[in-house]
This record gives sequence, structure tokens and C-alpha cells, in this order.
Amino acid sequence: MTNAAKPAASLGERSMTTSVYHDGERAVQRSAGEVGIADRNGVVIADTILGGARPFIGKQSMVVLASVDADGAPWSTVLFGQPGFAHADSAAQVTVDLPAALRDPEEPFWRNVAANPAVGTLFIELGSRRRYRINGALERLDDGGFDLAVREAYPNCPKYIQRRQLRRIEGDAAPALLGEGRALDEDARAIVRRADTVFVASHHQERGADASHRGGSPGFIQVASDILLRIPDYSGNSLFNTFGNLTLDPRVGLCIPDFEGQRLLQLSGRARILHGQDDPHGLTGGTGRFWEVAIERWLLRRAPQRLDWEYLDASPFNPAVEG
Amino acid sequence: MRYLIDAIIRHGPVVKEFRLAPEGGAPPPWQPGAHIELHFTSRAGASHRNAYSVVGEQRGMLRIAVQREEGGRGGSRVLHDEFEPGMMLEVSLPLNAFKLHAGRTRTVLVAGGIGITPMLPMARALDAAGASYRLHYLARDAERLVLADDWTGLGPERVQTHVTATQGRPDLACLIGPWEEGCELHACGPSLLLEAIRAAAAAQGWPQQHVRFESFGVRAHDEDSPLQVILRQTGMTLDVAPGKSILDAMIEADVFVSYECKRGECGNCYAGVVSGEPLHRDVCLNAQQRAMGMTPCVSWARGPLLELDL
Repeated sequence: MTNAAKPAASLGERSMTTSVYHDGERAVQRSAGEVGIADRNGVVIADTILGGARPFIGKQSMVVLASVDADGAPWSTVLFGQPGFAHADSAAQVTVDLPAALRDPEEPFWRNVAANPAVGTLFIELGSRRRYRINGALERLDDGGFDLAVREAYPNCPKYIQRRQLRRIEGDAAPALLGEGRALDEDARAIVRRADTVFVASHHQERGADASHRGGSPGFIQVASDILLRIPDYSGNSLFNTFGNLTLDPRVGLCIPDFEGQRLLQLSGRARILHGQDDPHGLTGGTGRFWEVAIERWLLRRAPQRLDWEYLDASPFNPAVEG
Repeated sequence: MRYLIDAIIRHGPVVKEFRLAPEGGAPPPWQPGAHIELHFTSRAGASHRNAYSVVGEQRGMLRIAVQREEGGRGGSRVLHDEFEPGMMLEVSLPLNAFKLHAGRTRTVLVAGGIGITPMLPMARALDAAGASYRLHYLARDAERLVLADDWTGLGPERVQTHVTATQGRPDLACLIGPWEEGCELHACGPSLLLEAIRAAAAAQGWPQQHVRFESFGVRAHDEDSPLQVILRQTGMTLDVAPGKSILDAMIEADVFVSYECKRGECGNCYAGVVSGEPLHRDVCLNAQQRAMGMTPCVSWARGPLLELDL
């Protein structure tokens, strides 16, 4: 961004807040008219893990991850393990224990972190709608697992999370790459149309990778074509970490779990944010914001564990979907 | 950002208007309904953080109206009693949390007491756009109908005042009218009034997304009793006394909880209720959301036990 493009308002912003936001985040906050709210809400962003979040992390059996490939494209994925496989032994570090034998070698995450240490994590407990975000850098990667040094950590709100209980997890399923391609095939399109949960990976050159969650009623992700998705952006915490990153670098990774089929659909593409859209059916819940993802690559993998999910209920905050 | 108090204008017995000039430059952009947060310290050393709606702008200054509240933490009393023109205040950027949605058919604005403040820029914007709207201004007595210069200019067919001490509370159903496509309702006032407006609007078919609220004032009620709050996921029980919010008690106990506005307006601290009987005092949740959970930032429970899925 050139100096000329920077509005004078940014002078005032600095006096009320430390620079927890980069230019891309500020740009989207301005477009949404939510700079002041972002400043207020930004106080929850810490550089260490909140005391109460450490036991929470220790009981999780899944972690959502954002990593960046050798070309700089972010990828989103989910890793599973028995409760306790992830733990924060200090406020400054998270450890994930996942022996090499239990990993899927086709999972892009392992390749990516070997080349680029930027990792975003989201610990999300679908059963209680709680989530905690930790972004940082990979410090150790070996046959036992990896350590992540915390750069920023903060809780996210429970909205738009569909409740699911992971009843059982067994590490004996054979991982498999079920398919890959450029334009979505029929199977992949069906997973997208059914989806009520999607994880998003984005990346910022200095701030690193970021993992986030988007949820809605099935059908909230519109399959505009076999290479284009259109997704409403519901009202959130006004921080715009994901959209801020995408404003500066539109490359985006999506991971859509197929809970029943024990599969993960991973997409890589480019995002475009659309402000001030007509929304006669209230699909955005009032924000008038959509984003489009032009898909460049997809992978469909079977999870390396057998996962037994019980669907409990939809978020009472989900806006309407079309049709 | 630092602002100079340029002038203080009295409006009746309990309201003072502050005209705030930003140090070195023009005020930042703001939208109708926006509020700013004032950060200040009393002579006794107590620090305060109070939110006030932007009433308007005058000669490069932001205007706010501060009502002296006898209850609460005392921030408004400090502003009334200790601040004078020429003194400085630390002020946040405008927070556009309460946005104006102009209805294609008609827009209803309801202000209760000092809740008139965000409604004035909204009414001006609707006026300027030539929109069909009506502003209802409820106050206990005539001398609490403040900022008259701001609303008398809007025209008698636009503004209707209601003095409740003599006339009683107006028929809210009649004042809101039946829902039709293209209608929008905005209201700002004490939470009890907003709750009544919500009920009256729902009874006439208004979908909740077209009913928009900003609330103020203390949410605690005198009859609130102490609570034992069981946090099922955390495995912790907290004793919370009335006067402190359940959310603040959780934050102090280092419980992992998300929150943002702390005013019952955003719903981001929403917690599932496992057992107990919540007393909802938010202005953001719909009936379905309330049936499953609550906002611990402002809501209470009948007690003595409340179990949350946190």
C-alpha cells in the first residue's frame, strides 16, 4: 500500500491502540465501518495463552491448522488425536503429539511446515461451541509431533458453530487420497452443498498463517460453478483477520469436513471480498458482505482415523439460506 | 485520541451536552447511531470508561449528551461535577455498532429518555434522504425532553413526544404499527422499555432482524439474589453476587470465555444454559436463542443455581 492511499484517519488510530492490526485488516475494518469496534475487541488478543484456555486445549481431540506451501499458498486442514494429544505446557507454547505412523503422508500440512514455519491453529470444541485461536511459528517437527511458539492467542465467539460430539476416535482407518483436481467433481460439489462447517486458512507475509471457522446452515456455501464458490460473511468480531489477510494476498485454503463420510475436502484458490451487496433474502444476516473463492485445486482425503460424530444441533445464530 | 472540551451546555436538570474538539484536526468519520468511549479519571483517582452516542457535529466538534446517573459506577457524575471547558478527554474512535437501516416503506425510531441521543443523527439522515419515518420520544416528564433544538427542526409530523408521568406509557403496539415488507425499527432506551418494544413488535409480526436496539443503564435489578454458577466444561463453580456480571466473575476467575461488547448487544459471550432459569436482559437474542442459552455479560438468573455449558 502506498502512503498516498493511507487515509489520514490512521494517525488517530495509533493513539488508541497498539498496532495489533496490519494494513489489510484495517482496510476491511474501514470498508465495514467497524474500525472503532475492532479497536475495542482487539484487547482480547494476547501474546500468550490465557490460563483458562490451557486445560481446554488439553482435552481437545481435533486441531484446525493453517499452513503455507512452498509457493506461498495457504492450506487448511484438521488433525485428530486422542484427548491430550495437544497440550499447552506453558503459556507460550503448544505441543501436538502425533507420531509419524499415524499421519497421512498426503496431508499437505506436513510438507508445508517442513518448508515454512508459519502455522495458524484453531482449537474448536464443536460439542460446546468454544474456540481458541493461536497463531505462531513451528519450533520443532519430528517423528513424535511438533511444537508451536505462540505469537498471538485469543478466544472467538460461539456463533455459527453447529454442535457435534466426537463420540469415538480410533486410529486404525487407512488414510487415502480419494481424488484431486482443478474443477470440483460431482462428489466434491455435493460435500460443499451439504456443508455446515468450513475452516479457512489465510496468510500474511509478516504476521504469518491464520486458521478460522465459518459455519452456517447447509447450503450457506453456494456452488456458483464447479470452480467458484460464493459464501455470505456473517457479522463477527469486526477484527477481520481472515479478510484482512485476503485483501493483501487473495490466496486462500478451505477445509470442509464431511463428518458422516470421514472425509476432508481441501480446497486451494483465490478469494474476492464483495462489500455492499444486494441481499434481498437476508443471506448475509444483514452485513451485505459476500466472498467468492475461485478454486484452483482440490484434494479429497479420507481421515487417517475412524471418527464417530454425533450431530446435536445447529447454531441458533445461523441466518437463512436460499431455497 | 485527545479531545478538548470546548463548551458544556445544560439541557434541563440532569443532562449536559459536551462539545468536544479533536486535538489537531477534524473529527474522524462516524455514522448515525455511532458512539464514542470516553476514558477519564476522577479527582479521587478512579478511572472510568463511559460510552456516549454521537448526537451530531458542530463546527468540527463532536457533540455528546451526558445524563447524570445517581446509580452506577459514577462516571457520569464525574463528568458533570469535575469537568469544565478547557479540559481534555481521551476519546476512542467512533464505534458504529448501532447502524441505521432505512426502511423502503417506513422507519420507526423510538427513544426512551437519554436514548434520544443516537436517534437524532438517524432522524436527520432519514430526513435528508426524504425517507418516510417517525421519531417517538418518551420521557418521564417534560423537562426531560432534551435537545429540543435538534428535533423541533424535523417537523411536527415527524416527531411525537410522550410524557409518561402524566400520560402513562404510550400504546407501543400502536406506535410501532403492523409489520410490512420494507419496515425498520430502531430503539434506544432502558432495557425494560426495549423488552416491551420487542414484545409489541413481535406480536405484530416484525421479524427480529428488522428490530434494532441499543440499550443503556444498569441491568441489575434490586430483587436479584446471589448465584452459584456452575461451569460444566471448566469444572468450576463461581459465587457471583448481584452487582457484578456473571461474565466479569468468569473473567476474574481466568475462565476461558469469549466476549466483546459487554452490553448485551453482540451475543458473542453467548453461553448454553444446562440448567437454571435465566433472566434475560440482553437486547440481541431471539426467542430461539434464549431458549438454549444466555448472554452472561448482562443477564442474570432466578437462582440460586445456574449451570452453563462453559
